[in-house]
Amino acid sequence: MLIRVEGLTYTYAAGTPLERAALRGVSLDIRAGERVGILGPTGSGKSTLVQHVAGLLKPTAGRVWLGDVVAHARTRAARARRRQVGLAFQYPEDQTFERTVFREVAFGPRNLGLDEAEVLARVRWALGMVGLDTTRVMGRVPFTLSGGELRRVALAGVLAMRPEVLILDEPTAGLDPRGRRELLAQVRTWQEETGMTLLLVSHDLAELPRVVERAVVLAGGGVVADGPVRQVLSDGEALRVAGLDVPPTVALLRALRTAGWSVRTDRLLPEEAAAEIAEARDILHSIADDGGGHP
Amino acid sequence: MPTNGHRRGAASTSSHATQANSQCRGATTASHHAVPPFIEIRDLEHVYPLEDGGEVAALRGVDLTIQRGEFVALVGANGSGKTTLARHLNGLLLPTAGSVRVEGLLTSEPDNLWAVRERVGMVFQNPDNQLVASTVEEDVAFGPENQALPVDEIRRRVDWALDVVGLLDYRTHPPHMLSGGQKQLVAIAGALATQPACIVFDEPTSMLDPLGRRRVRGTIRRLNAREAATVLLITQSMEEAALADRVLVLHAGRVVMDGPPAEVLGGDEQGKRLRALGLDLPVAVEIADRLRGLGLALPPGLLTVEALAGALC
Amino acid sequence: MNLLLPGTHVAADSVLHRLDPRVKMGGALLLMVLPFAAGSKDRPCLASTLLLVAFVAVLVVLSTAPIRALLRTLRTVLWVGFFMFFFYLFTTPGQPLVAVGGIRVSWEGLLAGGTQIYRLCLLVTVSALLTFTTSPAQLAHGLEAVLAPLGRLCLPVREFTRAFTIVLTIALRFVPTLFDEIEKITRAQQARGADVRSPSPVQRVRTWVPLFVPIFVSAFRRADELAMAMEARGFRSAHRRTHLHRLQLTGRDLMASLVLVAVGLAILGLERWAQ
Repeated sequence: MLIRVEGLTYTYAAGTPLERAALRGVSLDIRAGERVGILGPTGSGKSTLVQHVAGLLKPTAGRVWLGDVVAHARTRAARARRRQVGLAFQYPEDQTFERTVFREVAFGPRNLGLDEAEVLARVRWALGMVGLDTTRVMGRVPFTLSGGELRRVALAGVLAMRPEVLILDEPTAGLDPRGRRELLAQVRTWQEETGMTLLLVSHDLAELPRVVERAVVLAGGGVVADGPVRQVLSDGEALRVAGLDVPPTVALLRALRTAGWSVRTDRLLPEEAAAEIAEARDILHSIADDGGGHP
Repeated sequence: MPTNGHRRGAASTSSHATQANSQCRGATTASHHAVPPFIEIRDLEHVYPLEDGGEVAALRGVDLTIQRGEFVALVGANGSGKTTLARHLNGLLLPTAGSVRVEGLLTSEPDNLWAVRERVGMVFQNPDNQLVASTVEEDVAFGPENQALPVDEIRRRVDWALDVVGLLDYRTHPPHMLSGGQKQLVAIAGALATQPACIVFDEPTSMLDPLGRRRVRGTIRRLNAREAATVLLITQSMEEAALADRVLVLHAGRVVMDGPPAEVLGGDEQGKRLRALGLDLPVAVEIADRLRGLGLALPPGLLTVEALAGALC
Repeated sequence: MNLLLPGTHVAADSVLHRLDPRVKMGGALLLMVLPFAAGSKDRPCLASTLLLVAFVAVLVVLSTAPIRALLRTLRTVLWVGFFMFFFYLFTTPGQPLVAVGGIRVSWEGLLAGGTQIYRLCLLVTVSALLTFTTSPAQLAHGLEAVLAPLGRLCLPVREFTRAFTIVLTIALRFVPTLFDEIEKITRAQQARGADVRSPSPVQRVRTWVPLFVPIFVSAFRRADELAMAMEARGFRSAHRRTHLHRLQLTGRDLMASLVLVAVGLAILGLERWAQ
């Protein structure tokens, strides 16, 4: 389904002294199967935006369309569409409440009204997708699991609903470097296997390019950049407005460019940056060897 | 740690210089060789009992000394024991074997506990779960209030601490209206207000956004450089670890690496080891390694993008 | 501001805002008890009623509280008031004014019912005024100061009062945070298909567990972390503590107390005289 955000405005505590505009007239379209990264500082409205897409909030002005229905509408058609959007909040392990891992992951599918056989199948599938040993973990009490395992269980709980659109709000928050890498690699796999639309809210500029193809930068409640991830993450201006630094790879390439090297500055991943630098160095050397005059 | 604000703004180039000049509690002015280590840990073991009757050793035989004024980073994967180790430094946890001494005081002696906590302050990971009062200044005053200090001294310390972290204008703000980074700065001010000689930071930036992280990191650096605080920074971020004078790597309850950042984080051998331990290298180091693999000759120990760019040009 | 519910505090600089919280708490208590002072016939006389209403009206004006909001609040509690009104109207014995079927309405009944409404309105207004002009933190400070003398009695009492005041302070500080968290958990479970807005009460009850358990767990974890942070900063429950802010009674407080005592005595006097 096509997700369309039209002039979305959302104001907290409207009419009271604590009034605050979280989103101001945000508009964007997300096609089915796209992988979009959403960046921005705290207070930029990222979480508010994705909660609107999931139909959890009602806009103060503007609309969010899930296909041909309005996201937050109370109609049956809208409810059905909302069920196809899965949203994992930050620190999703904080939502745990069930006695066993199985019941915890089954919560979502059961709320969808599926029969027990289907629920079981989905729980197994979801636990496998997050890399947990299904047989070992299903009967355990969630609170006895480690933080990293519990996070995976929580994500499995959202995956088990087999959403068409998966929204992850900072899924790697608080994980150690290996945990971050592994999780984002898994997210990439999920998307490739299911073809779902992916919205990834994240600060992790180093890992983002491995997972998303498009990046949207929010600041002060509005969109300050929206385009291919390589382009956006090498755009210093937009990132600076959002209180973010360019990824270290881009910073390095820019420093070299300023020093006169002819390098592209949109090589975001370390291996790409290294290759780019090596190539430029080779060119420099061959110019030097030729004594100049090389095209 | 100075007892009044006059050191504010006095930049110092080395922590040793300020060490000799500062009015840190108990600081000796004798020559550095005679100064005993500020923190001395011997054979520290910490074993947790498990529900099913077994036990797990979070720390196994850790030996460690930290001198006054040092800026030490402690890195390790989740479960390596770093938080457990940190909690031993101010007596929140007690050793099941071995000893921890802070300025000579044994933490396992009940009578020493509060003296230890006056020397070692702590800032935790979750900004919200450290703030107890309804306004910023009342929260920062919590520590001095516990020390039963006179009102004017409390007032002086609160103003000084808030000034150091740059939140003097937010004195009367309620905590829930602050950003995560600001809350963490209030927590730091709260730890500062008891004027400990040493502050332990337990993953202080892992729940913050990039802007908050920058602010907190800058404050921590300043505390060590200008206010002569001994700093122990527990972190998952190698970029943060690279700021320290010394990096300790913890794995399965033991210290497996200990040295200056250039050595621990900067080499190729160490890189493989760190990755095997579940940790990452600073991006600059990763790129430098790849470049060396592609045939470029680069000096070792390039930890930051600036250093790498400088070496290439 | 829509409603001036008891509990809503707005920081302002009115005469009342600047008074010591102990004076305000004591005064509120007094003003809430006075409507129940009755000389004869189990209800206050006209004079004392008028005096009290006038005095409270002056206080409302002095506090700069929005009167519209206050009236709207009174309107919402009026339905309770009407229930009591009609109860007293029909059950109070006295000279009947109107008799329809077996139901008798008397002048006494009217007055009795009216008195209940008057008392209710006064209670709501006075408590709303107290919380409007006094922040929760100030109330906690005031309570702490009032309880402090108890601390000299014996160790258990001292520990209890200290624990009580610190617990109160922390609870107040976390109220907004907890509200935010409840909202976040609610939305998170909603995203997993929990029907929190269901019209069916049975469904609603089903969604309590997914809300309560995470919030309780988080509250316990928070308490644990907070306790560690407090200990790290040298907190010892039985140990003596000083305070950054000390409540000081000023001349204004003394004046206000005298005025309150005067009003109280006047009302009691009027009731006496009405007997």
